[in-house]
Amino acid sequence: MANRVVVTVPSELTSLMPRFLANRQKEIAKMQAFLAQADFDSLKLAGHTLKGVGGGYGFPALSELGARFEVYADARDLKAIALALDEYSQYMAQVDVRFE
Amino acid sequence: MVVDDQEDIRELISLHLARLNVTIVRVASAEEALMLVAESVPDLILSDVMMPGMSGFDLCRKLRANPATVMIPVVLITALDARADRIEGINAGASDFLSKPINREEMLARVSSLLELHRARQLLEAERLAAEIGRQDELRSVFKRYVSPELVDEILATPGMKDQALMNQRTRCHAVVMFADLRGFTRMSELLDPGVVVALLNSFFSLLTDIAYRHGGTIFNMAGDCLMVGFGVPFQLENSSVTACRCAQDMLKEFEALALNWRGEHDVKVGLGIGIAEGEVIAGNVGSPTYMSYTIIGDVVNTAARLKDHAEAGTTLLTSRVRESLALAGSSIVIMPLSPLHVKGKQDPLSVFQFSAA
Repeated sequence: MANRVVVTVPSELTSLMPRFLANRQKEIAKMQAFLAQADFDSLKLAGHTLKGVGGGYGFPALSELGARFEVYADARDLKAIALALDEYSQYMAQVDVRFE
Repeated sequence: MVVDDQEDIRELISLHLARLNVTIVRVASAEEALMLVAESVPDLILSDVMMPGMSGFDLCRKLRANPATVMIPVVLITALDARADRIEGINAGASDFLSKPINREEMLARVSSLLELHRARQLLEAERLAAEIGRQDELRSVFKRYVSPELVDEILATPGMKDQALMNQRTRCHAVVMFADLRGFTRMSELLDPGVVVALLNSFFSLLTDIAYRHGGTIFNMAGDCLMVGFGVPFQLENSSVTACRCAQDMLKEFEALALNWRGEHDVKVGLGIGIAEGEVIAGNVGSPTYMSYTIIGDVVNTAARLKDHAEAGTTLLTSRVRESLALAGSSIVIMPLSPLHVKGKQDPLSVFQFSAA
């Protein structure tokens, strides 16, 4: 359990959280497909979406990650995108949500 | 209304807005938003900027281009932070901006403020409309004394016409003037109770006024047993001579039935004589500072009045100028020349023509 990441979010988001988390998993799968096709436009758009949605749900780290995807997509840096995508996937696998 | 292609954002915004006790409509695209707005105008729209298909900027522009939606406050929500994008948003007509990630307190404060402003604006607009309706009703009651209800509607709906009608100055124009006179009125007044005479006169004027309105005429005077109608004044009327003559034919024809009825019910013999002349007139308010009336002045008015005096019951007399206009317009109205007529106030005899009911 030492590798778990605990994120505390307002309890009013309880009902929305399952869908939010599920959508992130779907997003990771989509971004992996975009990476395989070197589709930088779609990767940038996905990063843009993540940047916009993360902080609102209490995940500023996801917004920051989304901003990085945008920069890497602009730079057409596949290696950096692949690393960031691993980081995204790992983060979501480790995250625990606590409501307060 | 919340417009965002991302379900997570739509739901998050809706959750926060629920605190304001407002009804929220969620849509996933600008196109869908426009369709719904056409059916029911929301009090405020929060829209994402970058969406597949139509952008938030385009949505804003389309709303601003439509008079029915121009007043809706639009808040653009974007992760974009470049100044150029905000400027584009302002140019597109955005009322305010919110940045992603959305800060709940900031969003609620901005939305509350815009809703309040919008409601105040709606209230002012409703008051302005009520005042405008009151003014229109006032104008309507003034205009309807002279012209048909249909023409009143046209005047009020056409700014240029309204301004023309309201102009305080006199206007010179080409017009056709008609006088219609009840023959046998004096005898009728002797025979009948004044109350009955008034009732009969009312039915006489109602009939003639309705016919005049039907033909686009303007009533300028109603005195005793005589009606003065103008055609092509104060508003232009195509083929005003033909229209005036058709109107006179209808008056003669429809009055026959009324006269027959009076004869049966009151044993009075009456008829209708009409005079029509054409030429330049001056239309405007004439009178003293304490009493004014809207009328037409000109030699043509006097001529029409004199012709009416000479017209036998059931006939219309017209000048050669009217006859020429009828010929130019290819009118099928059958007219007969009469011997030149000496009329009061005219040095030379007038060439006159005559027709009866169609």
